[in-house]
Amino acid sequence: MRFLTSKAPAIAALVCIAIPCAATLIKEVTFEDLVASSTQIVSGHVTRSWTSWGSEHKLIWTRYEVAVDDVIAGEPASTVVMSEPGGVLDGQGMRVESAVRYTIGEHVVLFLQQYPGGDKRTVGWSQGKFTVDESNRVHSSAGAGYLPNHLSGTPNGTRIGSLDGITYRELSQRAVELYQRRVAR
Amino acid sequence: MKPLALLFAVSALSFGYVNSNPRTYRTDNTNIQFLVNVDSANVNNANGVPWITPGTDVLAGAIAAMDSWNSVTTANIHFAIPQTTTLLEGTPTNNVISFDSSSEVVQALGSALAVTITSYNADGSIVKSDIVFSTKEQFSTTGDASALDLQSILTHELGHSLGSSHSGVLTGTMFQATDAGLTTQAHLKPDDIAFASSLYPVGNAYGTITGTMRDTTGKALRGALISAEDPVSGQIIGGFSSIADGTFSFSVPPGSYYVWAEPLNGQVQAANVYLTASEVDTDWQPVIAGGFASPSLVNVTAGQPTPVALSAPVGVSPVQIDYSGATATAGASFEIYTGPTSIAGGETVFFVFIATGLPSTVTDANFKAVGPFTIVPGSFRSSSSEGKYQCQLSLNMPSVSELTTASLLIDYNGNSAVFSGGIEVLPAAPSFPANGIGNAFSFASSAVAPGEIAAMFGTNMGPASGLFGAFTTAGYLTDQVEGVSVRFDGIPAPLFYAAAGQINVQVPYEVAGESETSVVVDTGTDSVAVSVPVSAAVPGLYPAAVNFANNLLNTVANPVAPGDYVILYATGLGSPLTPIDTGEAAPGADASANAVTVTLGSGSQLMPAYAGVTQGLAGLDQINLQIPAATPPGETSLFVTSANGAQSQTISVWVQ
Repeated sequence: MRFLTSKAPAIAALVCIAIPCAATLIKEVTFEDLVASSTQIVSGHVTRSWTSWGSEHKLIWTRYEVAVDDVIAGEPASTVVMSEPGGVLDGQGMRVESAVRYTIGEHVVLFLQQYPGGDKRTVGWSQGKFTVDESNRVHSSAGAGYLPNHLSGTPNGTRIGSLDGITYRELSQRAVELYQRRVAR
Repeated sequence: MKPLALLFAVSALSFGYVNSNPRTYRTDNTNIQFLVNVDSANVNNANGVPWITPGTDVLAGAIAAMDSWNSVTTANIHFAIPQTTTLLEGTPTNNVISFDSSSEVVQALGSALAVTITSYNADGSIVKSDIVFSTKEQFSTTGDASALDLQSILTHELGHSLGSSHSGVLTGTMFQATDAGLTTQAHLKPDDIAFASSLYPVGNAYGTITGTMRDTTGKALRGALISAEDPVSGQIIGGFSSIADGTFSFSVPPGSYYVWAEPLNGQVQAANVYLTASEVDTDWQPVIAGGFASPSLVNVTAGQPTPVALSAPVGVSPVQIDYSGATATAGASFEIYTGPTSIAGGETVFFVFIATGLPSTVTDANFKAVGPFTIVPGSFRSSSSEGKYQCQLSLNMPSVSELTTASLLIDYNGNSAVFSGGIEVLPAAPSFPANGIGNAFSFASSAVAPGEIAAMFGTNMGPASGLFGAFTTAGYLTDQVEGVSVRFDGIPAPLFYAAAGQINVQVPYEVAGESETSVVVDTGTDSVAVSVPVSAAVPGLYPAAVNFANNLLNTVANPVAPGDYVILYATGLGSPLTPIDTGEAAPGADASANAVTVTLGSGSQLMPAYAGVTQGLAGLDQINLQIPAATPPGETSLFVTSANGAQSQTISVWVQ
């Protein structure tokens, strides 16, 4: 590897970067995967939440309504509702570790996936949720790190954590570009 | 509709392992019954790929995963032997493990490999937990490198079913990450054991580490990940400061620890432990009690709180480890990961990592090894690449007898980073020959019998100083001793003793009916599987009988009176008439399903009054034999023959 000095042993001619599965054992996705799997990408503010049973009455779901400020990709909408497993209903609590949590008033960018029943969730659990701070920079909760492509033995995408701190404008532009490329195909 | 604040108000208390309000816990912790839908696993997914690899035994994987938790002797936890079911989800009170492709469950899984769906009452008591595996992945119990290890994932999910949240310790079973072919999460680490021992304690064996996390301005820091690590053994346990006021309190075994704290902005983030970014403070740098230059040891005693002062520098550290990996071979190709790095013990390795803030002016003196390894002086190398540094450090890893963890601390120009429990040291592979397993009393190695106490002889099979197994409070012999386990056809076997050269084990009753069984010793590294013949009974006798009259060993000085009884202790008589669980202390007398005869002296055949399990013990049989009144005085020999024709060795009995 070219970073090594001449004093170092000739180690690691090829370092394969393996992206692990994370858990409640959730698979890690790249930013390219995130856009490719999204049916809609929006930004907005969380306005309210409630709980209800799912379509098959197997799980309690917490629904979060987001007032949409900007539709980055996908169908136009003034509000979207996300569904996350778990919550409290009729005196019964249900918990699914790693379910994505939101707070009222939170400014978020959401990469959404629609399920057959019509419910929407963020792609890759918390990986599909970014928060936007007061200076309009986005923050990921998916983990730190950036993998320069040339260091990898195999092609890979952009780690979501590497986008931490970029501006909302830059994030949306990158998402739009990838989304349009996908649609064009 | 419930208000959001009630739904997700997280406890103001700090948490070591259970991050929920109310804190969830089981009331059936000493008898947790899961049902396993085995049939649901035997299906191909939408791509025509089977959900499990050929040879995978879902039920055995479930038993092994449950056994890891059952073996925590400092916790009152017992998963009962799981039953099979056709249910995909439990009834309102049943706990079910399944592969469920129904639409609502698929939606809940998303891209997860598995989820645990836990229902609980208002007081936090758990009503039931269903564990569902993704139908998009492939799972294995056979060590398939391209599939996900079912036992490891199930061990993790069962931790959730007990009430555990995710851990911040990278090598913990309850850490959030795994990958195909990785099996180390099947082994509970001190952090996981601390959770179990804290929530379901046996006695008062643990102490607590307490304090308030602050920065140097005195501001309380919420959601700090705090680690306590024994610098000698490498045992590491983590907790978190309160998201309300920065206080912390978490349980650790008595001992001496380095204690440090780090913000949730590295490889562990708020969302990984069911928090939001707004609930935690991350604008500060890692700090260790006593300082990085000379950390102070924190001494914890059982039943006592030990206060620790931690005051962190303000501002995000520019130093961070993003990926790491290791190889012992120059020029080799290897993978690097986020999360822990596994390194074989007994070697000097190149530890390679991609980091920020570590230019070539850094030296190995800026690193501190915590745990059983050392840094090779002068070995640090760094080169910049696209805003990151590719770094290399040579590490001397000791030989270890069990899976061991270690950490790396970095302090450079007043900036710090920690790789908490980020290194796991793997023991050398255990090995034993096919004739190295036999009856623990006779050492006959022709075959093993269901329920038999067997002795195994080999190398690298356990700790240098042998350790004994123990019975849990539920009356079961544990299947793990110091991280060592033995599997017969994937079924974990209860252990009486484990040492580097010898293991004494109870052969699971589940091998009954098989012609041979595949035996694997697992110390964190698996041995090669060895096939061993199975026989219904392989009797072996303890070398001395016991006189029933005085309950003393029968010897030349203590002969039995003619017409009196002796007790012959044995093992390998096979399954009892009424089945008992593997590892279970026999609840009462029960005859062996294989009748035995005793051949005495010159050849007289005797039917014993009783031949079967010994009450209160696992694997031990006894034969109550009346010595005929006409038996001549002096030494006489005897041996036992079981119904399948198998004979024990011959022992001596002295008669008055």
